[in-house]
Amino acid sequence: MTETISVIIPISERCDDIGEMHREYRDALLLAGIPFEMIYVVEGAFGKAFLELKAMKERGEKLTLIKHSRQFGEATAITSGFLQSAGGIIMTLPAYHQVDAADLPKMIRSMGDYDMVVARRWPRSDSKWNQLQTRLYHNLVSRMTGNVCNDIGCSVRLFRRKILEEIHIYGDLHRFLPILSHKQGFRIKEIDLRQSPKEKRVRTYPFGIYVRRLIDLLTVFFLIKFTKKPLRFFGLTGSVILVVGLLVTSYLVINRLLFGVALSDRPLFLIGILFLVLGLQIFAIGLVGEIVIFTHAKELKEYTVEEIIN
Amino acid sequence: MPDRRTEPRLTPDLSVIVPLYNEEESVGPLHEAIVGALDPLGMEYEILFVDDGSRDATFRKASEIAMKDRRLRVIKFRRNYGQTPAMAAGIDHARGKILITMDGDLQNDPADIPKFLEKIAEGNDIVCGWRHKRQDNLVSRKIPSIIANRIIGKITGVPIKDNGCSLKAYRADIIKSVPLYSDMHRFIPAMTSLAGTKVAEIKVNHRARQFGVSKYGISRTYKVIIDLLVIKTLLKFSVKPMHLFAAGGLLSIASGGVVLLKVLGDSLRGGKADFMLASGGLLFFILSFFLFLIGFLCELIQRTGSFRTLAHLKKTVE
Repeated sequence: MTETISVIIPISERCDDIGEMHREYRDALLLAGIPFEMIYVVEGAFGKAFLELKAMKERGEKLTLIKHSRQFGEATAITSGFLQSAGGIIMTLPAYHQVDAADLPKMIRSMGDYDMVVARRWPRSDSKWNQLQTRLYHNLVSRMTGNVCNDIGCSVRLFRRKILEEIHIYGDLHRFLPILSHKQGFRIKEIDLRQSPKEKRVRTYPFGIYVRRLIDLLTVFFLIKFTKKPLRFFGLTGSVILVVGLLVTSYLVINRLLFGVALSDRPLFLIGILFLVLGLQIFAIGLVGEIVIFTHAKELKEYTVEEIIN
Repeated sequence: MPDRRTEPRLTPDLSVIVPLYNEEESVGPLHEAIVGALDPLGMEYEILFVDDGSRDATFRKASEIAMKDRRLRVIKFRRNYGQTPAMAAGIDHARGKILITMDGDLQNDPADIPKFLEKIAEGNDIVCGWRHKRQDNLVSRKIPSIIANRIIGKITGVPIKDNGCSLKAYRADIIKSVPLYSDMHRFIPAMTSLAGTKVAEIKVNHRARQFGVSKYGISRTYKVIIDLLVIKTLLKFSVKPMHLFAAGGLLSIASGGVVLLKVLGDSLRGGKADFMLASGGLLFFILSFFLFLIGFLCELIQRTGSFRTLAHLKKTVE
C-alpha cells in the first residue's frame, strides 16, 4: 500500500497526555513505513492540549492543527479534519489510550482491498466493570442493527476516503460509521489489536451519557431500517396500540350494554381511550414521514453504484 | 447486419432496462433474445443491465458481453438493494425516449417488445404487460396475485390486472419524474395516474423459470398492505394533505363533543358528572388538536419540498 494515510485525531470529549499520545502514534506509524500526515482537531474546551500541540509544532513536529471555537462534537471534528486531509486513506485515532499503538502497523498491513478496517480491543486488560458495560452495549447494538463489528466504542479505524465522501456523519453518528458503511455496501473487516495497558481507568459515566448513547442507537436503528418506509415502523407500533385500545374499550362497552356495569366505575376505560388516541397519533406521524419521504425521494438516492461499463 | 462496434447515439429511441440478481446463466441468452427482437426494428437502442449486487458471475458475464456490444451498459451496485432501486438506477441512467423494463430471469419474452412500442406510438404514456397464461404455482402464486391485483386496482383506482409483471413500457420523461423508492415499482401506474397519464395493458407471454430460484415469497403481505395505504394517502391527499388530517380532526372533535355534551347535560339536570366519560371526551378533543397540527405540518412540508415532481409530470402529460 503506497497511498498516503491521513491520520485524524479529534480532541473533543476526552484527552490523555497529548504529548505522549503523539509520540506513541508517530513512532508506530513511522515503523509502518508508509507516507502519512497527522491532523489534530482540537475543540473549544481543550485549550491546554492545543497549546501543547502548538508548541510541539513550533519545535518542528510535522502535524496539522485545527481549532474549533467551541464544542461541535466528535463527528464534526472528524469531518473538519477530513476536509483538510489529502490522503486516499483515512485513519481515525482517539486522543486517549485505547489500543496499543505498536499494533497499528499490523492494522495498516491488513487492509488489502477492504474498504474499512475496524479495530477491536482484544485481549482486554481493563476492569471487569468496563468489560461488562461494553458487552451489554454490544448485545444491544447487534440486536438492533445487525452484527457488523464487536467493539463499536473503539475509535481506531482505517478506511478509504470515499466512505466519508459518501456518508455524512453528524452528532454522535461517527460511533456507528462501520454500521452505516456496511449498510452502504462497503466491505468491512475487523481486526484484534491489543488493548492499551494504560486504559485502566474504571469508566462510570454520568447517567445522561448512558441515555444519550441509547438515543443514538435508536437513531441509527431507525436510519438503517426505516428511512424509506417510515409507515412500516410507525404502522406496526400504531396498529398494535390501536388494537389494544379497541379491545379494552369494546370489552367495557359490551359490559356496559349487556351487564349494566357503569363506565364511571371502570378506570380501565380511560386507559382504553388513551391507547386508541395514542395509536391514531402514531399512525398519523408515520403518514407524515411518508409524505416527507415522497416529497424528497428524488433527492435521496437509495442505491450506490460501484461501477458502470460503457 | 449492423456493426456491433459503432458508438451508440447519445439519445437512442429506446432503452431496455433489466435488473439482474444472481442470474449468471440468464445473462447471455437474455442479451441475445433482446438483440434478436430489436435488431429487425431498425431503431437506435441501448440495453441497461443493472447488477443488483450479485454474488455469482453475473457482472463478469455481463461486462464480457458489453466489451463486444457497445449498446449494452452495465451498472453494478455495491451491494444488493432490491428490485425497485435497481429499476430506479436503470431509469436514472437511461438515455432513450422510451424505456422498457423487464425481469432478468427470462420469464418475460423480449419478442413482446414491438407490441409495447406500437401501444406507445398510439399515444399511451405507460403500457403494462399482463401475464395472462402465467406459468406459476396456482395456490401459492396465482391466486394471491389475482386477489392482490383486485385490491390494488380498487384502492388505487387504476384497474391493472397484473401489477407484478415487470415488462412495461414508459415514456421516458414521465417515468423519470416519478419518485421510485422502497417497493414502489409495483405502483408506478397508480402513482402516475396522479398526473392523468394514459395507461394501457397488453397480454404478454410468460415462460416458466429456466434457471435460478424465485426471489419472492408470500410473506410480503404486510409490506404490500402498508405500501397500499401509503399510495392511497399520497394519491388522495398529495396536493391537499390538510384535508385528510382535518377530516380526522373534525371526526374526533365531533365524537369528543357529543360525549362532553352528554356529561354536561347530565350534570345540569342535577346528576353527578361522570368523570370517566368526561375525561374520555377530552382525550378525543386533544387528538383533534394534534391532527390539525399535523395537517398544518404536512402543508408546510408540501410547500417546502413541494410536489414539484408531480406538477412537472402534469405538464409533460398535457
